[in-house]
Amino acid sequence: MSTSNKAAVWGLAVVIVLGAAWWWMSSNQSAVAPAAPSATTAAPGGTTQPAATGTAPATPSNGISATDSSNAALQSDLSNVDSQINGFPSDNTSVSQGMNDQPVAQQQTL
Amino acid sequence: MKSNINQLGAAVSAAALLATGLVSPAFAQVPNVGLGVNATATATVNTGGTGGVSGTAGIKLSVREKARVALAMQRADQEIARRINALNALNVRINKMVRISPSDQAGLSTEVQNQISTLNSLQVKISADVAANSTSSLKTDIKSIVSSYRIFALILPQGALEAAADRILNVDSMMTTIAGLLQTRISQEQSSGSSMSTSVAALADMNAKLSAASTQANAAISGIAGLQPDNGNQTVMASNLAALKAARTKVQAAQQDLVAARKDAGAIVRALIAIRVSGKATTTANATGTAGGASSSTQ
Repeated sequence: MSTSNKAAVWGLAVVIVLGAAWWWMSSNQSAVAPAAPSATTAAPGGTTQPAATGTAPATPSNGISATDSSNAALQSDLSNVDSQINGFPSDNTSVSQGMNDQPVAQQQTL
Repeated sequence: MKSNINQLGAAVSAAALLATGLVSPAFAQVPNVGLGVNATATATVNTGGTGGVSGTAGIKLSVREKARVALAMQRADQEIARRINALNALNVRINKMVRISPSDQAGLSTEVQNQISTLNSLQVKISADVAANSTSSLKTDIKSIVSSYRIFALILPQGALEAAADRILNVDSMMTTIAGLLQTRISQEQSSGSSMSTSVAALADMNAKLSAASTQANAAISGIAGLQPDNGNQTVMASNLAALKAARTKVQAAQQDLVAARKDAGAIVRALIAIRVSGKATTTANATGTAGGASSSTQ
Protein backbone atom coordinates (compact mmCIF):
# COMPACT_ATOMS: atom_id res chain seq x y z
CA MET A 1 0.00 0.00 0.00
CA SER A 2 1.40 3.39 -0.97
CA THR A 3 2.11 6.07 1.59
CA SER A 4 -0.76 8.24 0.44
CA ASN A 5 -3.19 5.37 0.68
CA LYS A 6 -2.02 4.57 4.16
CA ALA A 7 -2.51 8.15 5.17
CA ALA A 8 -6.00 8.18 3.76
CA VAL A 9 -6.92 5.02 5.59
CA TRP A 10 -5.53 6.33 8.85
CA GLY A 11 -7.32 9.61 8.34
CA LEU A 12 -10.59 7.84 7.71
CA ALA A 13 -10.11 5.71 10.77
CA VAL A 14 -9.47 8.79 12.90
CA VAL A 15 -12.64 10.43 11.60
CA ILE A 16 -14.66 7.33 12.37
CA VAL A 17 -13.24 7.04 15.86
CA LEU A 18 -13.79 10.71 16.60
CA GLY A 19 -17.33 10.52 15.29
CA ALA A 20 -18.12 7.51 17.46
CA ALA A 21 -16.63 9.20 20.47
CA TRP A 22 -18.69 12.31 19.89
CA TRP A 23 -21.86 10.26 19.57
CA TRP A 24 -21.10 8.35 22.75
CA MET A 25 -20.31 11.49 24.71
CA SER A 26 -23.42 13.34 23.55
CA SER A 27 -25.59 10.38 24.48
CA ASN A 28 -24.09 10.20 27.97
CA GLN A 29 -24.33 13.95 28.52
CA SER A 30 -28.01 13.91 27.68
CA ALA A 31 -28.59 11.01 30.04
CA VAL A 32 -26.99 12.66 33.08
CA ALA A 33 -28.15 16.21 32.53
CA PRO A 34 -30.38 17.47 35.37
CA ALA A 35 -34.01 17.79 34.40
CA ALA A 36 -34.84 21.34 33.47
CA PRO A 37 -38.13 22.70 34.76
CA SER A 38 -40.74 21.58 32.31
CA ALA A 39 -42.05 24.37 30.17
CA THR A 40 -45.71 23.83 29.84
CA THR A 41 -48.43 25.44 27.85
CA ALA A 42 -51.86 25.31 29.32
CA ALA A 43 -54.68 24.99 26.84
CA PRO A 44 -57.70 27.03 27.90
CA GLY A 45 -59.61 24.88 30.28
CA GLY A 46 -57.49 21.91 29.31
CA THR A 47 -54.58 19.94 30.66
CA THR A 48 -51.00 21.14 30.54
CA GLN A 49 -48.70 19.59 28.03
CA PRO A 50 -45.02 19.37 28.96
CA ALA A 51 -42.39 20.63 26.55
CA ALA A 52 -40.10 18.02 25.06
CA THR A 53 -37.24 17.25 27.43
CA GLY A 54 -35.26 15.05 25.09
CA THR A 55 -33.51 12.29 26.99
CA ALA A 56 -33.58 14.05 30.33
CA PRO A 57 -34.77 12.06 33.35
CA ALA A 58 -38.33 11.03 32.81
CA THR A 59 -40.82 13.79 33.44
CA PRO A 60 -44.31 12.46 33.97
CA SER A 61 -46.88 13.54 31.45
CA ASN A 62 -48.41 15.73 34.17
CA GLY A 63 -45.44 18.12 33.87
CA ILE A 64 -43.98 17.53 37.33
CA SER A 65 -40.39 16.42 37.65
CA ALA A 66 -40.07 13.47 39.99
CA THR A 67 -36.47 14.26 40.91
CA ASP A 68 -35.88 18.02 40.99
CA SER A 69 -36.71 19.30 44.47
CA SER A 70 -35.01 22.65 44.12
CA ASN A 71 -36.95 25.74 45.15
CA ALA A 72 -37.20 26.90 41.56
CA ALA A 73 -38.48 23.55 40.37
CA LEU A 74 -41.01 23.37 43.19
CA GLN A 75 -42.30 26.83 42.36
CA SER A 76 -42.59 25.89 38.72
CA ASP A 77 -44.43 22.72 39.65
CA LEU A 78 -46.89 24.65 41.78
CA SER A 79 -47.47 27.04 38.88
CA ASN A 80 -48.40 24.05 36.74
CA VAL A 81 -50.78 22.94 39.46
CA ASP A 82 -52.32 26.40 39.57
CA SER A 83 -52.97 26.25 35.83
CA GLN A 84 -55.00 23.12 36.38
CA ILE A 85 -56.81 24.36 39.47
CA ASN A 86 -57.82 27.46 37.53
CA GLY A 87 -59.84 25.14 35.32
CA PHE A 88 -62.10 24.03 38.19
CA PRO A 89 -64.61 26.90 37.78
CA SER A 90 -65.12 26.19 34.08
CA ASP A 91 -65.56 22.49 34.86
CA ASN A 92 -68.20 23.34 37.45
CA THR A 93 -69.96 25.64 35.01
CA SER A 94 -70.08 22.86 32.41
CA VAL A 95 -71.52 20.45 34.96
CA SER A 96 -74.20 22.89 36.08
CA GLN A 97 -75.13 23.77 32.51
CA GLY A 98 -75.46 20.12 31.68
CA MET A 99 -77.67 19.39 34.66
CA ASN A 100 -79.84 22.48 34.19
CA ASP A 101 -80.19 22.11 30.45
CA GLN A 102 -83.58 22.94 28.99
CA PRO A 103 -84.58 21.99 25.45
CA VAL A 104 -86.06 24.35 22.90
CA ALA A 105 -89.77 23.55 22.95
CA GLN A 106 -90.89 21.73 19.84
CA GLN A 107 -94.57 22.34 20.37
CA GLN A 108 -96.06 23.57 17.19
CA THR A 109 -99.36 23.17 15.53
CA LEU A 110 -99.09 22.51 11.86
CA MET B 1 -140.23 25.13 -1.06
CA LYS B 2 -139.59 22.01 0.87
CA SER B 3 -136.75 21.11 -1.48
CA ASN B 4 -135.34 24.62 -1.04
CA ILE B 5 -135.40 24.19 2.72
CA ASN B 6 -133.72 20.83 2.38
CA GLN B 7 -131.02 22.28 0.14
CA LEU B 8 -130.52 25.16 2.52
CA GLY B 9 -130.26 22.77 5.42
CA ALA B 10 -127.71 20.64 3.59
CA ALA B 11 -125.64 23.69 2.77
CA VAL B 12 -125.71 24.89 6.36
CA SER B 13 -124.76 21.44 7.61
CA ALA B 14 -121.91 21.20 5.15
CA ALA B 15 -120.63 24.58 6.17
CA ALA B 16 -120.80 23.61 9.82
CA LEU B 17 -118.92 20.40 9.20
CA LEU B 18 -116.27 22.24 7.24
CA ALA B 19 -115.82 24.70 10.04
CA THR B 20 -115.25 21.95 12.59
CA GLY B 21 -112.67 20.24 10.38
CA LEU B 22 -114.47 16.98 10.38
CA VAL B 23 -114.65 16.85 6.61
CA SER B 24 -112.09 14.33 5.42
CA PRO B 25 -108.72 16.10 5.27
CA ALA B 26 -105.64 14.77 3.57
CA PHE B 27 -104.14 13.95 6.95
CA ALA B 28 -105.96 12.27 9.73
CA GLN B 29 -105.96 14.11 13.02
CA VAL B 30 -103.15 12.42 14.93
CA PRO B 31 -102.99 12.15 18.67
CA ASN B 32 -100.98 14.85 20.30
CA VAL B 33 -97.61 13.25 21.12
CA GLY B 34 -96.62 15.98 23.48
CA LEU B 35 -95.46 18.18 20.70
CA GLY B 36 -98.77 19.73 19.80
CA VAL B 37 -98.00 19.02 16.19
CA ASN B 38 -101.13 18.32 14.11
CA ALA B 39 -101.53 18.26 10.39
CA THR B 40 -104.53 19.29 8.41
CA ALA B 41 -104.89 20.16 4.82
CA THR B 42 -107.20 22.25 2.81
CA ALA B 43 -110.12 20.13 1.90
CA THR B 44 -112.47 20.70 -0.92
CA VAL B 45 -116.06 19.93 -0.26
CA ASN B 46 -118.60 20.24 -2.93
CA THR B 47 -122.21 20.03 -1.93
CA GLY B 48 -124.10 17.64 -4.06
CA GLY B 49 -120.96 16.25 -5.51
CA THR B 50 -117.99 14.30 -4.52
CA GLY B 51 -115.40 15.93 -2.38
CA GLY B 52 -111.89 15.52 -3.58
CA VAL B 53 -108.85 15.72 -1.39
CA SER B 54 -105.28 15.08 -2.28
CA GLY B 55 -102.94 12.69 -0.52
CA THR B 56 -99.98 13.47 1.69
CA ALA B 57 -97.49 13.87 -1.08
CA GLY B 58 -97.56 17.04 -3.08
CA ILE B 59 -100.23 18.58 -0.96
CA LYS B 60 -100.62 22.28 -1.05
CA LEU B 61 -100.38 24.03 2.27
CA SER B 62 -102.15 27.18 3.15
CA VAL B 63 -100.13 30.28 3.93
CA ARG B 64 -100.91 29.82 7.59
CA GLU B 65 -99.78 26.21 7.56
CA LYS B 66 -96.62 27.10 5.70
CA ALA B 67 -95.84 29.63 8.39
CA ARG B 68 -96.35 27.00 11.06
CA VAL B 69 -94.16 24.53 9.24
CA ALA B 70 -91.46 27.17 8.94
CA LEU B 71 -91.66 27.90 12.65
CA ALA B 72 -91.51 24.22 13.48
CA MET B 73 -88.43 23.84 11.34
CA GLN B 74 -86.84 26.89 12.94
CA ARG B 75 -87.36 25.47 16.42
CA ALA B 76 -86.08 22.10 15.35
CA ASP B 77 -82.97 23.70 13.89
CA GLN B 78 -82.45 25.70 17.08
CA GLU B 79 -82.63 22.62 19.26
CA ILE B 80 -80.41 20.56 16.98
CA ALA B 81 -77.80 23.30 16.68
CA ARG B 82 -77.82 23.85 20.42
CA ARG B 83 -77.20 20.20 21.11
CA ILE B 84 -74.52 19.84 18.47
CA ASN B 85 -72.63 22.83 19.87
CA ALA B 86 -72.80 21.42 23.39
CA LEU B 87 -71.72 17.96 22.22
CA ASN B 88 -68.80 19.40 20.24
CA ALA B 89 -67.61 21.30 23.32
CA LEU B 90 -67.92 18.14 25.38
CA ASN B 91 -65.97 16.14 22.80
CA VAL B 92 -63.13 18.66 22.91
CA ARG B 93 -63.04 18.31 26.69
CA ILE B 94 -63.12 14.50 26.51
CA ASN B 95 -60.13 14.48 24.18
CA LYS B 96 -58.16 16.47 26.73
CA MET B 97 -58.77 14.03 29.54
CA VAL B 98 -55.58 12.40 30.73
CA ARG B 99 -56.52 10.03 33.53
CA ILE B 100 -59.13 8.09 31.66
CA SER B 101 -58.07 4.93 29.88
CA PRO B 102 -57.65 5.30 26.10
CA SER B 103 -60.41 2.79 25.46
CA ASP B 104 -62.85 4.57 27.77
CA GLN B 105 -61.90 7.89 26.23
CA ALA B 106 -62.48 6.54 22.75
CA GLY B 107 -65.79 5.06 23.81
CA LEU B 108 -67.00 8.37 25.25
CA SER B 109 -65.87 10.28 22.19
CA THR B 110 -67.53 7.77 19.87
CA GLU B 111 -70.79 8.05 21.76
CA VAL B 112 -70.73 11.82 21.47
CA GLN B 113 -69.82 11.67 17.78
CA ASN B 114 -72.70 9.29 17.14
CA GLN B 115 -75.10 11.72 18.75
CA ILE B 116 -73.74 14.55 16.61
CA SER B 117 -74.03 12.48 13.43
CA THR B 118 -77.59 11.51 14.26
CA LEU B 119 -78.54 15.12 14.84
CA ASN B 120 -76.91 16.26 11.60
CA SER B 121 -78.78 13.60 9.65
CA LEU B 122 -82.00 14.59 11.34
CA GLN B 123 -81.49 18.22 10.42
CA VAL B 124 -81.05 17.29 6.77
CA LYS B 125 -84.15 15.11 6.88
CA ILE B 126 -86.24 17.85 8.42
CA SER B 127 -85.17 20.25 5.71
CA ALA B 128 -86.19 17.70 3.11
CA ASP B 129 -89.55 17.20 4.84
CA VAL B 130 -90.24 20.90 4.69
CA ALA B 131 -89.17 21.19 1.09
CA ALA B 132 -91.52 18.35 0.16
CA ASN B 133 -94.35 19.71 2.31
CA SER B 134 -94.35 16.33 4.01
CA THR B 135 -95.83 17.33 7.29
CA SER B 136 -96.39 13.78 8.51
CA SER B 137 -92.68 12.98 8.16
CA LEU B 138 -91.89 16.32 9.73
CA LYS B 139 -94.00 15.41 12.73
CA THR B 140 -92.22 12.10 13.09
CA ASP B 141 -88.81 13.72 12.87
CA ILE B 142 -89.68 16.43 15.36
CA LYS B 143 -90.95 13.72 17.67
CA SER B 144 -87.56 12.06 17.47
CA ILE B 145 -85.93 15.29 18.62
CA VAL B 146 -87.95 15.11 21.79
CA SER B 147 -87.36 11.40 22.37
CA SER B 148 -83.62 11.66 21.75
CA TYR B 149 -83.33 14.54 24.19
CA ARG B 150 -83.37 12.15 27.12
CA ILE B 151 -80.11 10.67 25.86
CA PHE B 152 -78.56 14.10 25.46
CA ALA B 153 -79.82 15.19 28.87
CA LEU B 154 -77.74 12.40 30.41
CA ILE B 155 -74.64 12.50 28.22
CA LEU B 156 -73.99 16.18 28.76
CA PRO B 157 -73.79 16.29 32.57
CA GLN B 158 -72.29 12.81 32.73
CA GLY B 159 -69.48 13.79 30.38
CA ALA B 160 -68.89 17.08 32.17
CA LEU B 161 -68.63 15.31 35.53
CA GLU B 162 -66.20 12.75 34.16
CA ALA B 163 -64.07 15.50 32.67
CA ALA B 164 -64.08 17.39 35.98
CA ALA B 165 -63.11 14.24 37.87
CA ASP B 166 -60.36 13.59 35.36
CA ARG B 167 -58.84 17.00 36.00
CA ILE B 168 -59.06 16.41 39.75
CA LEU B 169 -57.21 13.10 39.46
CA ASN B 170 -54.58 14.75 37.28
CA VAL B 171 -53.99 17.53 39.78
CA ASP B 172 -53.95 14.96 42.57
CA SER B 173 -51.24 13.03 40.77
CA MET B 174 -49.19 16.16 40.22
CA MET B 175 -49.43 17.19 43.84
CA THR B 176 -48.64 13.70 45.08
CA THR B 177 -45.36 13.92 43.19
CA ILE B 178 -44.75 17.36 44.66
CA ALA B 179 -45.49 16.03 48.14
CA GLY B 180 -42.73 13.48 47.65
CA LEU B 181 -40.29 16.20 46.67
CA LEU B 182 -41.31 18.29 49.66
CA GLN B 183 -40.74 15.32 51.93
CA THR B 184 -37.23 14.99 50.51
CA ARG B 185 -36.49 18.65 51.13
CA ILE B 186 -37.92 18.59 54.62
CA SER B 187 -35.79 15.58 55.47
CA GLN B 188 -32.71 17.34 54.12
CA GLU B 189 -33.39 20.45 56.16
CA GLN B 190 -34.03 18.40 59.26
CA SER B 191 -30.69 16.68 58.72
CA SER B 192 -29.12 20.11 58.55
CA GLY B 193 -30.53 20.96 61.92
CA SER B 194 -33.56 22.97 60.93
CA SER B 195 -36.75 22.50 62.83
CA MET B 196 -39.40 21.70 60.27
CA SER B 197 -42.29 20.89 62.58
CA THR B 198 -44.69 23.31 60.91
CA SER B 199 -43.81 22.02 57.47
CA VAL B 200 -44.13 18.44 58.65
CA ALA B 201 -47.63 19.15 59.88
CA ALA B 202 -48.51 20.93 56.65
CA LEU B 203 -47.22 18.03 54.62
CA ALA B 204 -49.29 15.57 56.62
CA ASP B 205 -52.38 17.65 56.02
CA MET B 206 -51.51 17.92 52.34
CA ASN B 207 -51.24 14.17 51.98
CA ALA B 208 -54.54 13.67 53.78
CA LYS B 209 -56.27 16.16 51.47
CA LEU B 210 -54.80 14.49 48.39
CA SER B 211 -56.02 11.10 49.52
CA ALA B 212 -59.50 12.44 50.21
CA ALA B 213 -59.65 14.20 46.84
CA SER B 214 -58.71 11.04 44.99
CA THR B 215 -61.31 9.04 46.85
CA GLN B 216 -64.05 11.59 46.13
CA ALA B 217 -63.20 11.86 42.44
CA ASN B 218 -63.16 8.11 41.91
CA ALA B 219 -66.43 7.79 43.81
CA ALA B 220 -67.98 10.46 41.58
CA ILE B 221 -66.93 8.58 38.45
CA SER B 222 -68.17 5.22 39.67
CA GLY B 223 -71.46 6.77 40.79
CA ILE B 224 -72.40 7.88 37.27
CA ALA B 225 -70.64 5.35 35.10
CA GLY B 226 -73.59 2.98 34.89
CA LEU B 227 -76.38 5.50 34.36
CA GLN B 228 -78.72 4.87 31.42
CA PRO B 229 -81.03 7.29 29.61
CA ASP B 230 -84.44 7.44 31.26
CA ASN B 231 -86.42 7.41 27.98
CA GLY B 232 -89.11 9.39 29.71
CA ASN B 233 -89.34 7.12 32.75
CA GLN B 234 -89.84 9.48 35.67
CA THR B 235 -88.43 7.05 38.23
CA VAL B 236 -85.24 6.53 36.26
CA MET B 237 -85.06 10.25 35.60
CA ALA B 238 -85.21 11.03 39.31
CA SER B 239 -82.63 8.36 40.09
CA ASN B 240 -80.26 9.68 37.42
CA LEU B 241 -80.64 13.22 38.67
CA ALA B 242 -79.88 12.17 42.23
CA ALA B 243 -76.78 10.30 41.11
CA LEU B 244 -75.56 13.26 39.07
CA LYS B 245 -76.10 15.65 41.96
CA ALA B 246 -74.25 13.33 44.32
CA ALA B 247 -71.36 13.12 41.89
CA ARG B 248 -71.28 16.90 41.55
CA THR B 249 -71.08 17.23 45.34
CA LYS B 250 -68.17 14.79 45.43
CA VAL B 251 -66.38 16.65 42.66
CA GLN B 252 -66.75 19.96 44.45
CA ALA B 253 -65.50 18.44 47.71
CA ALA B 254 -62.48 17.01 45.92
CA GLN B 255 -61.72 20.37 44.37
CA GLN B 256 -61.80 22.02 47.79
CA ASP B 257 -59.44 19.36 49.14
CA LEU B 258 -56.99 20.06 46.34
CA VAL B 259 -57.14 23.80 46.92
CA ALA B 260 -56.35 23.17 50.60
CA ALA B 261 -53.51 20.83 49.65
CA ARG B 262 -52.14 23.50 47.32
CA LYS B 263 -52.11 25.98 50.20
CA ASP B 264 -50.18 23.52 52.33
CA ALA B 265 -47.66 23.02 49.55
CA GLY B 266 -47.27 26.75 49.11
CA ALA B 267 -46.63 27.22 52.81
CA ILE B 268 -43.99 24.51 52.83
CA VAL B 269 -42.20 25.93 49.79
CA ARG B 270 -42.17 29.40 51.33
CA ALA B 271 -40.67 27.95 54.48
CA LEU B 272 -37.99 26.15 52.47
CA ILE B 273 -37.15 29.33 50.60
CA ALA B 274 -36.93 31.24 53.85
CA ILE B 275 -34.49 28.69 55.22
CA ARG B 276 -32.33 29.01 52.16
CA VAL B 277 -32.40 32.79 52.29
CA SER B 278 -31.55 32.95 56.00
CA GLY B 279 -28.82 30.40 55.46
CA LYS B 280 -27.22 32.60 52.79
CA ALA B 281 -27.46 35.66 55.03
CA THR B 282 -25.70 33.82 57.83
CA THR B 283 -23.04 32.54 55.47
CA THR B 284 -22.46 36.05 54.16
CA ALA B 285 -22.18 37.43 57.69
CA ASN B 286 -19.61 34.79 58.57
CA ALA B 287 -17.62 35.54 55.44
CA THR B 288 -17.31 39.20 56.48
CA GLY B 289 -15.78 38.24 59.84
CA THR B 290 -18.77 38.13 62.15
CA ALA B 291 -18.12 35.75 65.03
CA GLY B 292 -20.15 32.61 65.42
CA GLY B 293 -20.94 29.73 63.18
CA ALA B 294 -23.84 29.20 60.91
CA SER B 295 -27.00 29.38 62.86
CA SER B 296 -29.71 26.91 62.53
CA SER B 297 -32.76 28.52 61.18
CA THR B 298 -35.97 27.72 62.91
CA GLN B 299 -39.50 28.14 61.78
